[in-house]
Amino acid sequence: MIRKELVAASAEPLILSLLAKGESYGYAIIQEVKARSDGKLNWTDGMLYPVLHRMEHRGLIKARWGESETGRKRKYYSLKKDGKTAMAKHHEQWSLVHSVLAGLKKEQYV
Amino acid sequence: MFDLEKSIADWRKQMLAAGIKTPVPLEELEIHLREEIEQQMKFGLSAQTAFSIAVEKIGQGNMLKTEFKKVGGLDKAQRRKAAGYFYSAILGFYTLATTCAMFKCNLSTNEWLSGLAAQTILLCVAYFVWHMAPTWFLVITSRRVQSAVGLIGGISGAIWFLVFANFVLPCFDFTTGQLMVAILWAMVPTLALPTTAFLLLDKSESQPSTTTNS
Repeated sequence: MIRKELVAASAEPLILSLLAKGESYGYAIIQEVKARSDGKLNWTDGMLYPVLHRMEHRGLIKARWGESETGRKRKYYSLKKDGKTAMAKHHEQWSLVHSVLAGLKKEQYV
Repeated sequence: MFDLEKSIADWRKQMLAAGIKTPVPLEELEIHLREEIEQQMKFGLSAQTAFSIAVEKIGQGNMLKTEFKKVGGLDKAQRRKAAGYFYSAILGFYTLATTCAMFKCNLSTNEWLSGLAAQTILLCVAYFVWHMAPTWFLVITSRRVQSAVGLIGGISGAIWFLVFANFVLPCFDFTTGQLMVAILWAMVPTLALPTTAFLLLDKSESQPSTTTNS
């Protein structure tokens, strides 16, 4: 299981990256993260919403109420321009961390 | 006999009691709860078990309340954005006011050029400091040094203008146009010094324990 600090830190970049593919809603976001991480990135479901609301408040994403195919009410989130910029920044920073770690790991086996 | 709707209504009451009182988060959480219950029931679980699993996955009301409470506050990026609008408004007002003053002073062509150059340089310095300096300046993490830098920046700008007005200006017998242009040039360090000091502090606040360039 991944440490909770890392799970928390990765929430915003993951949400932004998922929303970059198109609008989505809370439940679907959680399911997709779970599926893509083989269940290893396990968020407390309710904790996603404060994160989404905070991102909305910061102008990174926007929300609209809509309906599912079955008629159930849903709140859909989509990326805003500032969100795209924030996502690019996250990718840059996480790639940097990844490359440093990968480089150090490689050196251990040389 | 387990009543799903009653259980959901009770869960809603518990959330309200825990402090999640605003309608939007609670409604969203309830929708999520229902989606999860539906999903679990599709896997063949009973309504009661599905409900228990969904409630556990959503998390406790007091924990959620603490997180929702953080939503309203301004974060560092927003503060920087707000400060950016504030600076832009001040600079816009300054440029407009000084341009109007220059029109009223009947400046010669050379005085106009010099005055406009002073305005342009001030705007360029402001732009440079705002956009470029945060990645170049060293980060100051000590609170005392931060206070000192802020104080020195603010005071030095004011002191410079006082020295200019009391000691430099009386040494020259300027015409109105020349006086206007001299004041415009004097304003460059007067505004640039406190702004630079502020950005040193802004940078240190935004990255208290790291020194990555972003």
